[in-house]
Amino acid sequence: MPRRSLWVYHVNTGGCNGCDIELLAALSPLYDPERFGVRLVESPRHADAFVLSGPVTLQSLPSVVEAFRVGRPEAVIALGSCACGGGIWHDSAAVLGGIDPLLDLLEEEGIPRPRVIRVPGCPPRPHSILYGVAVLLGYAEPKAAKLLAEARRAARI
Amino acid sequence: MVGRLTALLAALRTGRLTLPYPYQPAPAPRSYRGPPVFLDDCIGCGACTYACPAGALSLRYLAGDDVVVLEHSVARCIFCMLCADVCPMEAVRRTSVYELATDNPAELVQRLEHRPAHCADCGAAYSTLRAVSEAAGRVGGIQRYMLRCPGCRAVEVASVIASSRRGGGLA
Ligand code: SF4
Ligand code: SF4
Repeated sequence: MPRRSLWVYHVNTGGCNGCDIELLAALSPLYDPERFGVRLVESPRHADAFVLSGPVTLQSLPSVVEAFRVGRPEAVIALGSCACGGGIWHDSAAVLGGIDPLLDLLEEEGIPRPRVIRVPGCPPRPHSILYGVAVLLGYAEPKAAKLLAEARRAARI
Repeated sequence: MVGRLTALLAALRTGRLTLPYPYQPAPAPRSYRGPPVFLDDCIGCGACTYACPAGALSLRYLAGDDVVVLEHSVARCIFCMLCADVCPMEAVRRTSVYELATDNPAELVQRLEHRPAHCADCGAAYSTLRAVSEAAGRVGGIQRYMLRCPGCRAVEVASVIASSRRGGGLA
């Protein structure tokens, strides 16, 4: 990821709005991602990265594909359990099931695979989203496995 | 001009609000519910895989039924702790981890390995050794059924009923 301001475009692919509210909270002055140059933009054409929330419902699919077609993001932040892996809708007939099947489908359409940062949570707290941005920009290393192993060790005692 | 001055004064009075978070660690509040972790007390009974509304938990028979793996997908988990509610061994614990963001999906999978139990009749793997011995310890007396897979168990039950009826002269 280039070290410059990261402009993001927010795509809600049929989520419940929980992640979107947390994203707005994360964009507020309290967390202030503009310190890292992160800005929400109105058009996918202006965006370096997409923030994708929701399980990609079939109804939203045409618009989502269109946004990726014109935006060609370098990176996607998959926000929440739904975007990361389908969440509680994983076996629903009305959804694609998150970022992985969506990227497969986009590849068939000839859209290159962006880098994917997964931010699990239902919804993820603003701190988690900020950490995801930090990982994307290279300010922080992913440490989920390490933290979970530590928590497991602490819980055993 | 006066309006701007008022705004400036208000801003000075309020001071700096932005949290120092990514530069300084910020422990989660006590009420924060993070992903579960699975302790070694787990017996691989699979109760949590049925309770999980997100399908984040699965019990898989791998390596030609030589190992049973309880797999937890942190990516899909919604941190509802229904798995902790149903676990008979209290092997599921809540954590307050939130810095889970990663570009490597393999980091978001937790695994626990178990040794499988094989059916006394047909030899198929149907549960884990620890789950069977735990269940036998809790109910006892009906090991004749417990050591068989569900299919062979049904056959066993049917044969017991049939043999008890033969003496009774029915059918
Ligand atoms: S916390 Fe909820 S979603 Fe996560 S594994 Fe447990 S039951 Fe499944
Ligand atoms: S012992 Fe608990 S954690 Fe292990 S499989 Fe059973 S319900 Fe799940």
